[in-house]
Amino acid sequence: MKAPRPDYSVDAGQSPGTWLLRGVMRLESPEAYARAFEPIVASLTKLPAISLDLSQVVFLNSSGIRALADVLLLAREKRCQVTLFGSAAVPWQKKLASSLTALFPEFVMRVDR
Amino acid sequence: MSNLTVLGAFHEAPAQPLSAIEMEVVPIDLVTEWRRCGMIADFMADYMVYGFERRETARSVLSTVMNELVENAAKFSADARTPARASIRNHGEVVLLEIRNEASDKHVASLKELLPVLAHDDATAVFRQRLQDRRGLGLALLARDYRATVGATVEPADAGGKATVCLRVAMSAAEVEQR
Repeated sequence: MKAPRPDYSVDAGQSPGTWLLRGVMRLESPEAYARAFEPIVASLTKLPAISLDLSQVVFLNSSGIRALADVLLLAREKRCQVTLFGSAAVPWQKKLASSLTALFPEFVMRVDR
Repeated sequence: MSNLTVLGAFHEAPAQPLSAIEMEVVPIDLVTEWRRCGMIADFMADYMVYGFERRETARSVLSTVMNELVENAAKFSADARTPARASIRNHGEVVLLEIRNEASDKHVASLKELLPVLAHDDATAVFRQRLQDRRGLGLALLARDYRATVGATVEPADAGGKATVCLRVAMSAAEVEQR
């Protein structure tokens, strides 16, 4: 039997260090997120700046927010600048922008696209 | 006489809801196919949105909150084959989202520590601390991001059984619609 198709995707954008995340990200464990975010983590250790476009992520559960925070903590450690893009039309993304501003003032999350 | 222990800000339900849905789920089903957590949350949110003007927003918020509660039951039920009950009740000004399940002793201990703190301290500070301590974020996130009150009742176990926890999240209708 074939494994079900994932509800989400993590794709590299056209420019180096740009990432486009899409779909429903309600993964079951930190390990599952570590696998999903592996290419993003690899890129932030090699580049001075990366961007994550979350605007097409319909849902992200609290394990995902934890995993995203872990990415930002690592970026801070590696001195990699991170810009996040979100959509103001998606409630959790507006909330995330507010949380991130409080916790990671050095990173920008734009929720206008 | 009730032996219920109340933890944190447990919002008492007003008389009758304007609208409600309650579903029984078996945690083993959720564990074996994790996306069922989201399916249940989405279904319950879809069912309830007709009571709100800003339906797309209400769907997103209700599903987000319900998903955290259903995932909670999937992860922390004492016996994965004992059914849990999930509900959403719209009381007009306030919306109550709830999960009732037999919880592991470890989970009860964790709620006894977290919920009183969430009820009294700044939710952002609690969220930040749990992020630093690498502990679960779900309930602190709901309190912080959705200005929700989070409380629980714990019903002691029968002989040989496990305690039943009713975890309740109360949100204003304005917050559900992000007005």
